[in-house]
Amino acid sequence: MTDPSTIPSKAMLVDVAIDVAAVERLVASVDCGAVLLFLGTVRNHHAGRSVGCLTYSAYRPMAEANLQRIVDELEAAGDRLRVAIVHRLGDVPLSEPSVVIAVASPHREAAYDASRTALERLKKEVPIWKREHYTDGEVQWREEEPLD
Amino acid sequence: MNIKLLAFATASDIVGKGPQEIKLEDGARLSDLKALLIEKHAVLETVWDRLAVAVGGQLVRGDDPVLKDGDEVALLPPVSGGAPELCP
Repeated sequence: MTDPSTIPSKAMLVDVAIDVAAVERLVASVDCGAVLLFLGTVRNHHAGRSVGCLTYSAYRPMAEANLQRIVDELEAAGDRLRVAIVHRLGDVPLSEPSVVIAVASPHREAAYDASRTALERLKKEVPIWKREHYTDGEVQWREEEPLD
Repeated sequence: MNIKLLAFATASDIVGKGPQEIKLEDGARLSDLKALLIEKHAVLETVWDRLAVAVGGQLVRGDDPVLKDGDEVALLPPVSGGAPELCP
């Protein structure tokens, strides 16, 4: 049986809690002195309203292809840069990460830049949507950036 | 011919999540599919310009491609991946 915590690819959508250490292991290598982890976590409010949980959905094949494109282009543009992006789908409870980005690089500054760019591109180029469940019972899609 | 329609987020609230098979005349373009969908779901006309459309996983970016039998057409509202950042 497959262990659901295993993260076999550097650009992935998963339906279970993200194994952050497994994402880190995807990029760590002996020639990289800096490993940077970014965790985007679900918080308990939006625009002053109390949020109970978030549900993420995706146009899965296109989302995975576009995540892979972001990883490939960042790695190709960098010097020995390694990038992994894992996004969770389905219900994500408060304080758990919905996205984890790991970057390894020989140079710290390059890792910060790539991590920032990966998230900015993800938010515009990857067909994923969040649905907020407010504690008062209302449910609302968030639609923020035109898909590019 | 038949195409397969998928819709996401608020677009799925309007036309259904799918996948649904939709029969079109041979040689039909995306604009013909749009007209057919708006005939069934009038509110779609008011939001159409917000949508990105992908055919076979590729964004059409304002083109009006001829559709082929078996094409997968996806209606994609503005996206919101990642974690929320704005604070109230």
